[in-house]
Amino acid sequence: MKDSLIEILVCPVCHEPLELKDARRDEKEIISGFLRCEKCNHDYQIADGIPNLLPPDMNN
Amino acid sequence: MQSVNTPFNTLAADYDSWFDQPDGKMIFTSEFKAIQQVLPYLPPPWLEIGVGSGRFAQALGITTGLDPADKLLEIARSRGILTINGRIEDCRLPLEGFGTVFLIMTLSFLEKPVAALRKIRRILKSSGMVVVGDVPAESAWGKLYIDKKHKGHPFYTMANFYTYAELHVMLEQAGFRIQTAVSTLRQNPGQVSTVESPVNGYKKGAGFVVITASRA
Repeated sequence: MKDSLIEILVCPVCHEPLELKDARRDEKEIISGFLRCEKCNHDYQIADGIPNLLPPDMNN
Repeated sequence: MQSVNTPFNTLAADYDSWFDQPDGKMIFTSEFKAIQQVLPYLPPPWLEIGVGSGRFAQALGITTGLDPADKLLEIARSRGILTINGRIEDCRLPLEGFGTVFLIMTLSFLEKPVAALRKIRRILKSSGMVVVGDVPAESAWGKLYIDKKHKGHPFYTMANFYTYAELHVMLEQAGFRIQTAVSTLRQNPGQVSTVESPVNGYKKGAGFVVITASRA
């Protein structure tokens, strides 16, 4: 995912902005890492360049 | 990444390969040409909800796509689409952040389509547009898909197909004003022999209709 995408994403639960953590990049974009919601104390995974913003209960 | 248990994940490759089959290619190209007809009137930036494997997004130049099926998104990403794994019902996107939102063969698969359209309206700029491309239930194609749904087709069993009039009403209930319609796929299922040129307006019997509606 491109860095610019972070600006349009918010937590699907509380709607607060997300913070990029543990990012691993290739020459073009972020490949893996987490988007952290400090308010919910939840990490949304970035895997293979795709941020997973499904609510936590849909991933269980 | 953990995948949501949906046929769009388990059958992602099958889903995407349909577009490369002879019938699939002609149907896709006919539908693409119908959507292409309205593109000059659509303000940027563009977002496709239910982007799937990114076939339409890539062909139409839609930069960003949202979908709950991450296996399809992996294919969309390989086609250069900025992908977000999520559902419009849950995913919060910036208010007035987009000029145009596309729902191509997606409205039928939403649990609460009017609620989703209302939400889409909120993420559109004041001059924004929504583009709905779908199969009218009253067409031969719609009847075929409804029949497949009742027989347990893995994809269509999750869908609810709407008539053209119902699509109109849902858009208006969500606060949109209908602007244009374009029709295509007047060839019946099993008889597709050519790529069709789209026609303006809604033509009863057309298997695919594109409706544009403004936020205002």
